Amino acid sequence: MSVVRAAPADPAASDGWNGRANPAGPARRWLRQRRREHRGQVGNLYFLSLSVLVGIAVAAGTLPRLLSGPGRVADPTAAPPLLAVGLLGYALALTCAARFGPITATPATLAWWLAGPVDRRALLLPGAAMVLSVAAVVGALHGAFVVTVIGAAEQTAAALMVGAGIAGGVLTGALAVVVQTLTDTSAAVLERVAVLLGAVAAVLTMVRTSVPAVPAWVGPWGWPQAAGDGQDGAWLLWAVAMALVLAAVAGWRLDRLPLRRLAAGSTLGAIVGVGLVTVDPGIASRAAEERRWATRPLKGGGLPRITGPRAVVGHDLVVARRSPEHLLVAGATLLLPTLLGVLTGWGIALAAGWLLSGLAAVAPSTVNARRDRDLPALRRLLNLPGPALVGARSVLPTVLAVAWGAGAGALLMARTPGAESWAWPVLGAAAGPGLAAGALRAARRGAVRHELPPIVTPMGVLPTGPLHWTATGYDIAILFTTPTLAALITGAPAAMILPQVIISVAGVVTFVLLAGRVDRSR
Amino acid sequence: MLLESRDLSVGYRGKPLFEALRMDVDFGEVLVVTGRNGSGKSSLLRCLAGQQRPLAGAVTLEGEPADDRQPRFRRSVAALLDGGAWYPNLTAAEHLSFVQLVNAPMPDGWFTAADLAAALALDGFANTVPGQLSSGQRQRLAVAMALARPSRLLLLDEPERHLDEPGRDGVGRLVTEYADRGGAVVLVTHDASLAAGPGRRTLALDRDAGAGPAGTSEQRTRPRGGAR
Repeated sequence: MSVVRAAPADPAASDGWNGRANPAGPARRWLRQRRREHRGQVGNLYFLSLSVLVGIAVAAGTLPRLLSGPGRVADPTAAPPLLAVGLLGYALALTCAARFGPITATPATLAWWLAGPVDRRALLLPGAAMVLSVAAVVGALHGAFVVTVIGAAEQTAAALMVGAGIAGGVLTGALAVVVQTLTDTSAAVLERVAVLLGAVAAVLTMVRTSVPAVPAWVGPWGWPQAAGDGQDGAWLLWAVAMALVLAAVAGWRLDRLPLRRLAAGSTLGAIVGVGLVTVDPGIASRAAEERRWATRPLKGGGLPRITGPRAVVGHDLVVARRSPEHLLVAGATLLLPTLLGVLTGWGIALAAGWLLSGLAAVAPSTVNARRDRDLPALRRLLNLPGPALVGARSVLPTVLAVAWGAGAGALLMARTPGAESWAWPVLGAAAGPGLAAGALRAARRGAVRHELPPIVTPMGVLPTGPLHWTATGYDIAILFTTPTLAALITGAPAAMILPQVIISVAGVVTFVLLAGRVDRSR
Repeated sequence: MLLESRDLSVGYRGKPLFEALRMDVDFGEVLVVTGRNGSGKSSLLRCLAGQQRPLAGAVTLEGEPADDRQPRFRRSVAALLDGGAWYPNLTAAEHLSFVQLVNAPMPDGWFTAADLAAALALDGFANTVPGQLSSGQRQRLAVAMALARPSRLLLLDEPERHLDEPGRDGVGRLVTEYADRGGAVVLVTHDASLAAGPGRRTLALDRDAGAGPAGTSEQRTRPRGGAR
């Protein structure tokens, strides 16, 4: 065995046990060089360059139109729901930050590099820069959304709104990093802040009040609106300065991060990485689910004493009781259709938002159906006929979907009064079984089918397996909820109730029978 | 004294796996930690490595609290926990080189890559990436990487995992040599031959016994039920 390159001697550290950290540069350069030697860069460069060019072209095509859009007459009643959208976005971003750290590192870097006497701040700086960049992009998207909803009189005003969004994103990202450097309970802190933001968003969704101007002090989630209100812009300079100072503090405190605060995000990052490398998100989601259960105390009682297929339903109920956070997610997704209804009106955006929110709300209740499908050994242990097992597994998702549909419809009825508004909760409940069938099909889709033929495009070969995997579930959810989607586009729900009931019932029965037959043959 | 723990209580979510552990490990000593599954052996090692906060008590290295944020601590402690992790695009030899580069400068007389390759029979897969190695070969590489970096305290969590008999013998010899060179070792193992090396003390976490023969320090543990 040969050593590829000898370690450089550092005269300043010749006693071997001094308390100074080694600079990260030499090892980083060495690693970069070895990686370059091991994999072709040409393909990556081509793909990266083309992606950047396409991104620039898209931005060049849409940004001027976005930024020069005519200013609409300000609708004071739209301010609270728009602020609620910002709050929900920040709640989602903070939840992701809590899961990943937000600063993290690969398991190998954690084990062999960060554990060594190397300058920890220098090693973690690229990760921090990545976190702040993502936060800036999220903030910019928030600002752009606000511009599209309320419009801007001139390009400068639009740019200020997007800039305020970026400042808000960077400030929040830097704050999350600082919290991570301060306490071992940073994930719990960030999650609680996210829950609080979600609760405020819920209140704002239901409030019917006129707010002529959103003040900057409400927080970064309101900054694009505050910038769009045309107030004195001095606060924006302060906001930018505050964001930059916090980013500097976050970078300065990176060497105070112990390994234990990087480990949890590292494991999750590795799981997500496996999903990306294998282009199989199913593997990643199964591993993430196992990790989630391995790191939490079990609460919510034991299995109910019932037998036969009903025991399977009892299993689903126990899992639901042990995952109260899923109810919070379902609650948050209830708000989105109403917010879209208020802000964008009837149309495809509302229909798409309703479908995505509904599937997101029901998906957590289908984890056991996914395991039954993925692990035939478990299914054989249960020894139930295929349709009976699939039917039992569809009970809880169907009940949840019916409740979610009714709830989302009730919120929509409350915020969009009209002659037929009474029909929204009924139509939503009727669409529940269709949504549940879609969520169950998505859960049972298994691994990505890499044997499907690829499509050759100018950007390279596009594998259709992942596309097929992504679409599976949404296909029959769209099919089985077509009347509701049509009603959300046209704003006329009453006539769609009967067709929706028929399609939902027929759809879920067909799905259970067909899926059960497939299981029996495997 | 190199490593000391006083009234150490380790566990999760406020529930201790063991309590009131007192132990000392000095230069040149090998402390073997044994115990049933879930008794807290790996958690103890993570605490000693500064990667887990104890529920109570303290761990010190040469009188300083175990804190992996301090470069001096990181320069002193090498740990192999959880079976290792890999850069998928570096060969076995490059992994060793990388570890030595990160931990530069190497003291005179430290294990060379050639020493480790000979002791753990790494030559056959030096130019192979981890994804193409068997689990036993990866474990040999992980042990070699932990020993390749200069340290004064070596923490090994079941280094015999996946290893055949020659591999276990090689690890045993390296642990002995590390201690002979003046380093201290805390070794968690279920392997009787590794545990029974010359001059080794034993700390059993699942009974009220102390750490081996009477020393100058008192060792005492109070194990708790519950496994992890």
